[in-house]
Amino acid sequence: MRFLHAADVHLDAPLRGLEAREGAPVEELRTATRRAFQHLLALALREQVDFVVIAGDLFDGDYSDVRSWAWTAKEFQSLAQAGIRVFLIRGNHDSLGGSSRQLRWPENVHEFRGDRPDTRILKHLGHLDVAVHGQSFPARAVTEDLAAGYPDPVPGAFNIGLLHTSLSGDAEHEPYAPTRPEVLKLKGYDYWALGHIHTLRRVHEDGPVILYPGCTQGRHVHERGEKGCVIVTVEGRGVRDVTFHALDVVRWERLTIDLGPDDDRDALLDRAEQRLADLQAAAGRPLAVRVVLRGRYRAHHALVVEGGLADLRDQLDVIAHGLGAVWIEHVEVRTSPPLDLNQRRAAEDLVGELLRDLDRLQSGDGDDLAAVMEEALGPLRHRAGRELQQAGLRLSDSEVMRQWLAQAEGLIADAFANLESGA
Amino acid sequence: MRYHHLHVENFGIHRDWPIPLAGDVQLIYGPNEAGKTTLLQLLREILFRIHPQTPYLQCSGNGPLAARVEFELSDGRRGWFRRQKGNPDQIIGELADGSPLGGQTVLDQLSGGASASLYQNIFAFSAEELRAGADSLRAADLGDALFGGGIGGLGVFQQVQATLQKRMEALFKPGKVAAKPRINAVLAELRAAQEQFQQAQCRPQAYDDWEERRQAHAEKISRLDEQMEELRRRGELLRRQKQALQAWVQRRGAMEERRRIDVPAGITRELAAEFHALDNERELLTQKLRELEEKRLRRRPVAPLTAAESALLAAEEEISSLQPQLSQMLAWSGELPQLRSSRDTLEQELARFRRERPGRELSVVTREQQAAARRLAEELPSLEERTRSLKQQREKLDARLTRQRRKLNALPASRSVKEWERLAKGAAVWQTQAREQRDQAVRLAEVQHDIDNLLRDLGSVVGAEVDLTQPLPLPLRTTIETFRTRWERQAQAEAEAERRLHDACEELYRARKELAQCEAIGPGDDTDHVAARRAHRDRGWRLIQRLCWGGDSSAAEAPLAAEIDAWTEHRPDQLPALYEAAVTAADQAADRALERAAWETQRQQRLREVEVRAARCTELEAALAAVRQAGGELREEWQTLWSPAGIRPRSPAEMLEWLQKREALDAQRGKSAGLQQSLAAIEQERGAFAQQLARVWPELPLTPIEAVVPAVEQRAREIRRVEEDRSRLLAEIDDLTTDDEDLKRQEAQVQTDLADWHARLTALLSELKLPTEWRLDQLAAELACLQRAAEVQEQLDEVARRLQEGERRWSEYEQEVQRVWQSAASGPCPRDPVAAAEELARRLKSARDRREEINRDAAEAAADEGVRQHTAGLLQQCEERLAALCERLGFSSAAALKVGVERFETADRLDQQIHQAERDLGNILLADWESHAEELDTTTAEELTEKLDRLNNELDQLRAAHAREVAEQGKLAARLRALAEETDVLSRAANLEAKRAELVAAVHEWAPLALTQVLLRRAVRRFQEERQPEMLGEVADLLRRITGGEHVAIRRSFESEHDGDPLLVEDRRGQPRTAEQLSMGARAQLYLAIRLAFVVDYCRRNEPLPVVMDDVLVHFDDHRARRTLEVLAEFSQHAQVLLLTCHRRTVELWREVRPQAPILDLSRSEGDHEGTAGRRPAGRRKRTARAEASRLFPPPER
Repeated sequence: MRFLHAADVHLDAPLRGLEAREGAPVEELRTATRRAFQHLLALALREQVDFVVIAGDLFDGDYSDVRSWAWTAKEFQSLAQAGIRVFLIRGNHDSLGGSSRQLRWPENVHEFRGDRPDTRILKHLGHLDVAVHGQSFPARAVTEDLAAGYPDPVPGAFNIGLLHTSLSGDAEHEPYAPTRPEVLKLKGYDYWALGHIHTLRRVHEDGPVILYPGCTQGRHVHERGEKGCVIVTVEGRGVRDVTFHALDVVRWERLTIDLGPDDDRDALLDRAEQRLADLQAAAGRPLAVRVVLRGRYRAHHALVVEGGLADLRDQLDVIAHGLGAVWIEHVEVRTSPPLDLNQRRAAEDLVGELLRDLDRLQSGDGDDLAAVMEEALGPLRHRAGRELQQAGLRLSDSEVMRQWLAQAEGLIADAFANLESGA
Repeated sequence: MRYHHLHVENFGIHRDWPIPLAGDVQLIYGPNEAGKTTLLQLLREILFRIHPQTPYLQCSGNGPLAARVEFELSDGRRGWFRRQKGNPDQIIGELADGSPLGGQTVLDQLSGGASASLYQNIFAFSAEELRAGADSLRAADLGDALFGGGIGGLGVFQQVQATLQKRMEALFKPGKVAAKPRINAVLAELRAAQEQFQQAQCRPQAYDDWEERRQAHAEKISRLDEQMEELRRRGELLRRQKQALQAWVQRRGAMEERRRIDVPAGITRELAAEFHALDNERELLTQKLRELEEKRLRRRPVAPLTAAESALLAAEEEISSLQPQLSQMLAWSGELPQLRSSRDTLEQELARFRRERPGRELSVVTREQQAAARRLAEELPSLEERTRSLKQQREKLDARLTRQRRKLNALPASRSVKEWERLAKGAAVWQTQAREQRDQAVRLAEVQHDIDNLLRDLGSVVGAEVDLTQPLPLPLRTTIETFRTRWERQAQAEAEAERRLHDACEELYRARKELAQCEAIGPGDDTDHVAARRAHRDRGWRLIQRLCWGGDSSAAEAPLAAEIDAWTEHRPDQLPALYEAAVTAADQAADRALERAAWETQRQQRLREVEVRAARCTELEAALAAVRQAGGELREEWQTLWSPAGIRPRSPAEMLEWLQKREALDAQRGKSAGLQQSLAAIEQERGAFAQQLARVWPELPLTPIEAVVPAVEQRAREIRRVEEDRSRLLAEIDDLTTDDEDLKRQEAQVQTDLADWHARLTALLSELKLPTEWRLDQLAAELACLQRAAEVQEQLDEVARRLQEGERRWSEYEQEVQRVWQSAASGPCPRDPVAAAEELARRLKSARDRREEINRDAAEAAADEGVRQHTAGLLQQCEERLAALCERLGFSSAAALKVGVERFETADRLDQQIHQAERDLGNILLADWESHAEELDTTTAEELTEKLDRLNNELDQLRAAHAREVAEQGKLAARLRALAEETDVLSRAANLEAKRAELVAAVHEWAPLALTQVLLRRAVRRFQEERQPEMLGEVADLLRRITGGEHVAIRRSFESEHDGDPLLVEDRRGQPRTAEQLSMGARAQLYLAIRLAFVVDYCRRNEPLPVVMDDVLVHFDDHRARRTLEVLAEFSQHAQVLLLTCHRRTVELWREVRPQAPILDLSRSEGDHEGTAGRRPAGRRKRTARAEASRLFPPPER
């Protein structure tokens, strides 16, 4: 018996930061999540799986546009013709409490209810009965442990728990329907098909298998690497094999280039071209790349102040264009001027004091840092806090704050050095 | 840094002038024009750069400006350097330990990093700078440096802040702004994109509306289908009636006609048919008899056979017997001439053959003799080929043998190959060792470099005081890793607690904002409005219902119309539109009412949410404090762990890295030792080999190394090549000798075979009685001739035999033909028997044809007669049967019977017509066609057509309505289907995402700039709070001492009216004054105090630099000048002081303050200086020229 486990399809979610790029195939990018979903259905048909489980967030759900559902229902018909059933639950993005209504799916699709957990039994799949347990998110923010309320396993059947959850201890994701692996293990199921985490993660390998398949298509640069689903092969009551299959249409990667004071523009571009070509060869599909420049760079000032970044961006675009289906999503400049900051930091002058202050902030004086951030970013937060949150930028993110502090250090050092050199 | 000795090689008026600068304070006295200002300028520039356009170049003549300084640093190191003007300046020098002073960078490091501008304005100044007051302090890049001391203005700092602020404001400005910065503009675009996106969405409610409308259309289509089906059914009935009407009319007419016909009794359809058959038969037989009679009358008789024809027919068999031989005779007539010709030809050839061999008998050659001759011919080429081949082999072998022997004789004598090969191998190893030695030396240097780097890196982490080469009581790696884990967990816990608190605060803020928004909306009350709208809608609905489906009587139509007029304001055609608008308005009003009803619920929910969020914030704040306390304890524990090693540790991750580097240091040191041992071993081996090589080949030079190995190898290769050639040649000569013997054996065998062949040829010639001296080709030609003659004789015999046989048979046939002709034919017989036989055959055929014709004519006449008699009999029988039929039916004659039969047949036809019409009616109107009788009798085709047209019109109207409904439903269904393929909203969403990305990118650019502003402000605050009091205290103390307590305090004003000069000086009465309000002398004393305070502060953190002052006491009274000199004497413990003056009074005061201190007097000649060795400036006497130069090239403005 074989089944396909997917989650977090996020249909019709746009890919962030690629639309505006010149030469980007807009239509392909806009429909990337749909095409990844079509790859999923094609995989199910090709591999002749017995059924498909989708562990939440089938729709992106930022909006409740009925067209997404209409398209999805039509696509599910292909599985119906092959006699493949689909079991799905709603996640935090497409919860039942949103403006989405109860959808009328084709006959072969079963959507679990949201008010309580439910069980569906499939008889005689390869001499085995299969029980699928699941519960949809009744609202976007589910803070209780849904798994705890799931029914007991059906005796003699292969029991699958379908759950959209953030396991406790995962600080990177919103804590929806939080639960612990111990709770899942004690439930007595054979397989826990989880969703919500967008990276393939094997939480528990055996008895039971607890697994996040990741999302099917990365939507932004923080969802890098291959994305797809898993096909689970069951023999007897045991999971014999779990195989990952990549489905993504456009792959996201991050290319970090470390620059030295002696590097010039040509060296940078040569390195970028080689690394981009390597990434493209490894991915084997269209690629969206964020280029991050680091290190003490001779042309730092020209890059950040004199419009050099735009030129560099154009040249990188030309390289990417030459390679084929590669787009530069963003060029992130984390370089600093080729100054001996340690010497400046040790000096008993204003710049030294300023740099030491930055060190203190970065080394973790939380209160002070929060105060500085609030003083600096408060006006923007009040003006555009909601829009920034919707855009996925958290002003309180510690990593982002550290990055900005480092950039501020570079800016200050560069400005002083530039004035002192008489430029 | 303190100067011990200054040697002016060439600068301005000074040349080759050594100036010893002993002690901490050096007073240098010189009258005007003595070169004090030049010396001041030299001291200002010697540490940094001689100005490219300095006027002293021209004053100094053609030589380069240069000076040399001997100095001592604060850490006791001594050294010297020399600066020579250039582009850039040339700097050489070294420290006492021998390390070179490589350029300006090293000099900058030694001098503490001060800039040229700073030094000129703070450390080396004149009375002019003091008079310039704050302006001098603000010059060049002093701003931040002085501000660092809490004194000066913002300087560069303000420029940096302004630059960054400008960039920041180009990205974002809070509040409403006219020209929108980037983030403001993107925000506006983002909100517009968001609105567009919201509008582009297709909500499920809209889908439901479409689906309901589609279903309504489907129901209406279903009703229309039913109505149309009914109309179609009625139309079909009318069409059938119309179609059946013709059959009905025909039936009616046939029935009427049938009623008028009287049918005779007894006649049946079979009898009528029998009558018709007899009547027809009689008619046919009569006609046939008439035709036979006419044929008999037309017939002509055929002539009988002649006598000649009869004779031919009598001899028919004999004539026929001649025909089979005819073809054989024809063949002979063609072949006999050819045979005769062949006979003649063969006889001629035989005769020629005999003529050519007179006296020789044409004997027969046997088969064995021919075979023997053939074998001899076959063997001859092989023998000749073998002979030729052996001859060629012989020539080649002899030539090769000679050549190889010559080569062997030409080779030189052999030498010891093995010895030279050993040397070549040794040389290769020797060279490899040299390369290896170099590589290992490089590696050793690299390892040593790595060790130095590692030591530096390790020292930078734990401090230089820790001896890293010795074992240290360090914590275990596992302990550090445990700490690292705890450390990271602690950091994560703190970050998580902060993030949670921050998020909770944000959520609280949002909840409060949402509550405020909710309350701002207010409940509202549209109940009455909603009720009125709904009543309006319901009235419209009632009207439409009554109008369309109410079935009102005509009496009720008038009030209904009036009501419609009233409702629609006399526009009844607007009824549907008004109704639709009313329904929409009512629904919208209802929706609004529902929304507002939910408002109160939402408000309550938000109130509760605010309370919950506030409680969570409090809880999270407490949690954060607890986490931070745990972090402090962890850090203390970490410090304790490292205290035995005397190390103040950094973070565990860094210390783990440090530990790893320390292990790497140990590894590198081990590697270094190994490399050194290896290098020594290689050196020893190489020495031994060099000695051996010198013994074997003394004249070989051992350098360069690269040339030795190729030379030895070349020598070994040459010797080895000669020996190889010799061996190869000897082996080849052996092989060739063996080949020579084989070749001789083959030559003997060929000779034997040739002798045998000639013996056999001679024997064959004797046997054939031919001359024995003949060659093989002659024998072969003779044998061919004899063979041909035998064949010709044989052919001649065969031709003669066949010719004889043909002539005999031809004669016999000729006689037989003449005999038959005589018996059967008349006239002369042709001479050619073939022609005669053919003529007989032609005549016989003609006689046979004539006989056939006579017999056929007679048979035909007999047959016609028989037919005529038979037909007459049949006619008689027919007449009899017809008479019997008339009698049986009671008719008097056949004519009467015929009339009766015709009447019967007419009635029968009408019956059939009636039956056919009824069958057609049944087909058209089905089984119950008789039920339509009344309608068919009472209607006409025109009426039916009219009814049908009306019905079709009605059907067309329904059909149009149906099409409209189908189209509407189709549109809706297509719309619903198309939803799956529509991606318009995706493009809007993508646009929205693009704007968001743009916003994020702009914020990433803006946020660091905003942070820089805050950080710069913090730095200012910190400096103001921490540094200013200390620095100003120093200034006040110095000023109080210089002024004898007149001015006791100094502070910095942050009030706007003092922006130009923010310092306030308080006198002993507490009266504050600005610098501008002080006297010239007091102001100069203030700025001198500021400079000295700064120098003190600078020297605490950097290398002290010499302070040079040129007549700074010029505006001081004696008391203050003396106190100033006392201050300077005391100040010299911080930095060396070089005081230049042209005033004797200053010298005297200095003698009072420091009686023993040396004074350098520029006005005295060489050796006159007190306690010094020096000489007057060389260009002193050229005052006029120098004055002219100064006029033309004035010193730079300061």
